[in-house]
Amino acid sequence: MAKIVGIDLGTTNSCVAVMEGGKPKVIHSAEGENIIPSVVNPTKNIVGRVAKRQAVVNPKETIFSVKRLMGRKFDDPEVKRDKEWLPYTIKSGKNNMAVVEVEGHEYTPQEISAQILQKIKADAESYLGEKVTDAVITVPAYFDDAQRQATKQAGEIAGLNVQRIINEPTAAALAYGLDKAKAHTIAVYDLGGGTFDISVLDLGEGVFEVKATNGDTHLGGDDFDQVILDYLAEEFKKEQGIDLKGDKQALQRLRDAAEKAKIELSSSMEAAISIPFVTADASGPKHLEMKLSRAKLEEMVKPLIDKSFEAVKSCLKDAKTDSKDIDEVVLVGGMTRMPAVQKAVSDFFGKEPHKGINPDEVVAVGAAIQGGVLGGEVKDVLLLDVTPLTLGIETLGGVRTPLIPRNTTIPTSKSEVFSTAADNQPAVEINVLQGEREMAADNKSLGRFVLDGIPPAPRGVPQVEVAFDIDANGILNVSAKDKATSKEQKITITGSTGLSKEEVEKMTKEAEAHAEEDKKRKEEIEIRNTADSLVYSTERTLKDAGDKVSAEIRTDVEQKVNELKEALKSGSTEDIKTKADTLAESAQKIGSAMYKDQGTAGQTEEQPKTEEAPKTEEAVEGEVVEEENRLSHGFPLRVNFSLCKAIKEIKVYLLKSVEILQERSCMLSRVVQKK
Amino acid sequence: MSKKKNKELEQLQNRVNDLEAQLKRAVADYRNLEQRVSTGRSELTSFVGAELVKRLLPVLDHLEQALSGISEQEKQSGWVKGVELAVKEFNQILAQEGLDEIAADGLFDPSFHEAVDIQEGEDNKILKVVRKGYNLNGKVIRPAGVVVGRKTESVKEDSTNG
Repeated sequence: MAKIVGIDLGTTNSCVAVMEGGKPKVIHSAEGENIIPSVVNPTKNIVGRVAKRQAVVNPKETIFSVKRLMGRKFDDPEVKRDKEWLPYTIKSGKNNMAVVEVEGHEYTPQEISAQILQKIKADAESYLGEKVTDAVITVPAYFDDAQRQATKQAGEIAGLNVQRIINEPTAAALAYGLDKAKAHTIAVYDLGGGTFDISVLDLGEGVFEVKATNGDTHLGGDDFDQVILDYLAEEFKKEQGIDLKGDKQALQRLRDAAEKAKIELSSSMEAAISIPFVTADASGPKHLEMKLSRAKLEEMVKPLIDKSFEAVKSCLKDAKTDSKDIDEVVLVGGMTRMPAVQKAVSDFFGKEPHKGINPDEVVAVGAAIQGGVLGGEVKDVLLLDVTPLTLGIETLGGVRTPLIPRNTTIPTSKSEVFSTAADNQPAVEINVLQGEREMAADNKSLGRFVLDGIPPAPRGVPQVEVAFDIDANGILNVSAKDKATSKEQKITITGSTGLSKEEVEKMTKEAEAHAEEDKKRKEEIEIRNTADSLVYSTERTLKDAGDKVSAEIRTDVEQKVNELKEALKSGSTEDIKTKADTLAESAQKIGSAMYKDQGTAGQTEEQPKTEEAPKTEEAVEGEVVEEENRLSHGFPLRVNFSLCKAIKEIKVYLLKSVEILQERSCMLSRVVQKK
Repeated sequence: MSKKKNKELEQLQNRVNDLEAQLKRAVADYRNLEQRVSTGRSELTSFVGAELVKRLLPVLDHLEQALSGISEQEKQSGWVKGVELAVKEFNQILAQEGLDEIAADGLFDPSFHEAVDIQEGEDNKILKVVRKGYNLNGKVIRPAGVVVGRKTESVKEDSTNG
């Protein structure tokens, strides 16, 4: 069955969404926007953003806000009011219905809306790669039968089977899944670009019933912009003595800047408004530069917000209910992003409103969900769970190494290869952890087990594959397998996802609170681990190199190794780091010396240029890369630690070891802690 | 007894059908998504890049505007030259990112131009560019802001453009 799209056919903007993999997804337009301006030039067949761009040139042919006329008679008082300010011609058509006239042609509001729907259909088809034939379209709760019928007709003209017309507030409630909650009363506060709607819904038996609705058909974001614009123009006039309102182009830039400032002030406390070259007089160009604080903005728009609550109060009165009897509040419309609006709403109703979904898209999202239900796509069984917290294991130094991050959809599996932390380590312990903290001890241990019988080998050599697998029921299987012997151990943990919401929240909050210190501790341990493996590998190198290294260098390196060992026992992290760096540098000297030795012994083509040890890491790496290019065979990572067969190999190893030290230390930091 | 069995069987059958349908749908959705991701990724990344470039455009406008107003005498200044070079460099980098200017010297076309005002003049002709328009990799990221000609304000729209 084809997909049923959900369409929010709005007064100012429209939006379309579809269910995909059981989740609603907003479809972007051909212009790359999630919303489409509800603007049409019917004679030129231009719709959306492009139609908006030519509005100034063709004011009488550019139809916007046509939703205000949908299904209304010409002598409807609302139509009379709108006729006053809409620049295009509105006249009486068949059955005395309101129609628009463009270039001598009459268009019904249905036909205009159909053009918007056609564009939406085409954009959705190009996104989905399949025909779109069915849709759910939303209408305001106060729409009467004629208006709903007209909306349905618009869909039919556009070639869509309108499966259902649903109310905008109902769609918003659906988007937040409020239909699954127990019977209750919901208020939907919808402050859009040009209109304000408040609805009170009653949910019973999974069906929403509109108890009352109210609003203001001429209150919205544009009014807020206008207030800011007036203020900016006024301030500019005070400062420069020039009235920007007379200049159409300056006015447009001022309007854009006002809207930008409004949006910025939703996330910051102060917005810097700057419009360079806004105008000019005899003395040269003039720039507008001022600051607007959130407090000032809130003071200016307070009357507008208050106005919306007059409607809210009458709506509650009509619904014969009280603000404290409202169980859930939902915010819709771009203006509800403003903190002052959110605060006013939560103060009025005494509870936090739902606001997680993009308020410009929430209605289309709800319509898509309704479409999914009608198409049989949305069923509870399909809902896949997620892991509420990160799952991982404990590694060297008590660090938590994550395997499955939180919010991963299950079923899922993940495996990673770890190694040992000491020479001839016979067993590893797997400690399965759940939580968001960086250190193992701060997380919850879900279970632990031991994999033994690992054949004797230097540290870092054995390969232990740890695999996590969570099935659809949240049952976690953890296995550890020694790749050399294929010996395996496993554990099954049930209820790894069965945490209460509070528990998850608590753990997540704790992790956030400790994020900084955890990170620092983890870094410290990583430095220790790196230093530790450096000591190990340098000692090995010295041993393997035998008398190929001069006594002088040997003593020097040995001394530095001992210093680092001391630092590891008692020193500060800073100390360890410095000593490790010094050692790494000296360790290169072994390589250089060996290299030189080799050079004089026979090879002539590559005389070392490293009499003095390179000072910086970059230099070292550069040198190694060059070396690698000259030698055709690669360096075996786990080089034979007994005596190397050829001096050449030792040489390569020593030079290369500097490079791999870093790689190895990364790997070793993940080494499973010794039992 | 057998009736009960039959009913159970039927229920199970229905459940299998249901689940199978859901599974197919899920797999299909996933495949489609994968396809879209692979074809759409470059498009997506260019959208992301476009956002940044879009926000840089006003800076370019204002720099160019600042340079356009300087006197002949000021032009000799090394400082002005430096700014000129910087603007040139900025332009080059944006061009490398796929930015090119939209031509705005013929007839008004709302696919590329945004009308900010109308003035008396040749019908539907662009009289003045108040803000340069740009394409990014062939897609309009900002239409050119233009003043469009109109014989007289009340004249009826001609039908030469479609």
